[in-house]
Amino acid sequence: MEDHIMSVSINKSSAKVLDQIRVIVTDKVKNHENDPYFVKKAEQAKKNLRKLGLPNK
Amino acid sequence: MHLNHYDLYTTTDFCDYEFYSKGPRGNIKKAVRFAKIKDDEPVVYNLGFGDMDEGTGNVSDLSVSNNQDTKKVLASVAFAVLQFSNHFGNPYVYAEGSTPARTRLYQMGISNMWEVIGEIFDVYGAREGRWELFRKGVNYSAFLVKRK
Repeated sequence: MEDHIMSVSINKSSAKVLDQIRVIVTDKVKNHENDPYFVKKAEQAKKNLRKLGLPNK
Repeated sequence: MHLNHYDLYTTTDFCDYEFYSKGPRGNIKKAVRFAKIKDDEPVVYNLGFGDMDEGTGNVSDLSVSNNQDTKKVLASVAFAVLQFSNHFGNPYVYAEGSTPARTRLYQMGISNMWEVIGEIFDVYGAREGRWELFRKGVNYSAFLVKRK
């Protein structure tokens, strides 16, 4: 697969912020779905989020 | 305000990101992963982040790599959150450090980039078991962000 570059523009006139994030989409990045570190982090996060819920808007 | 950051590389599903931290300790590969932790609406993803061992491919945040580029690394992670949010229709993104020290590091990163982050995201901090709108100078145990 050829790498391709995506650009994301953000234009928030109130903050006068204009930036372009360059992200390279590639099949050379590892899928970490089963990495023990990320699995453990996600499990801990799930547990804590259940206790906290979501913000009241 | 321009945030100095590293080029990001991502998988075709936009859930995993990698970039290189470059400094006195050489090139250190960093990995960022967004994992869904709440399926029903509103959907929530967890932000995981650490150093990747290029030999084993495993990720860890136990070591302090100290490549003297903390601000640039945290800005790169923030841009990964932004790109991910753009792609996945603006879900909540949850983040907490593995240790209180790492959570404080994330907090410092949010504070340092507040001029940009505050304009683009709603940011909440967890304190005393509940969410409140993020304020500088207050210690939180976790963070939740969503594009405005």
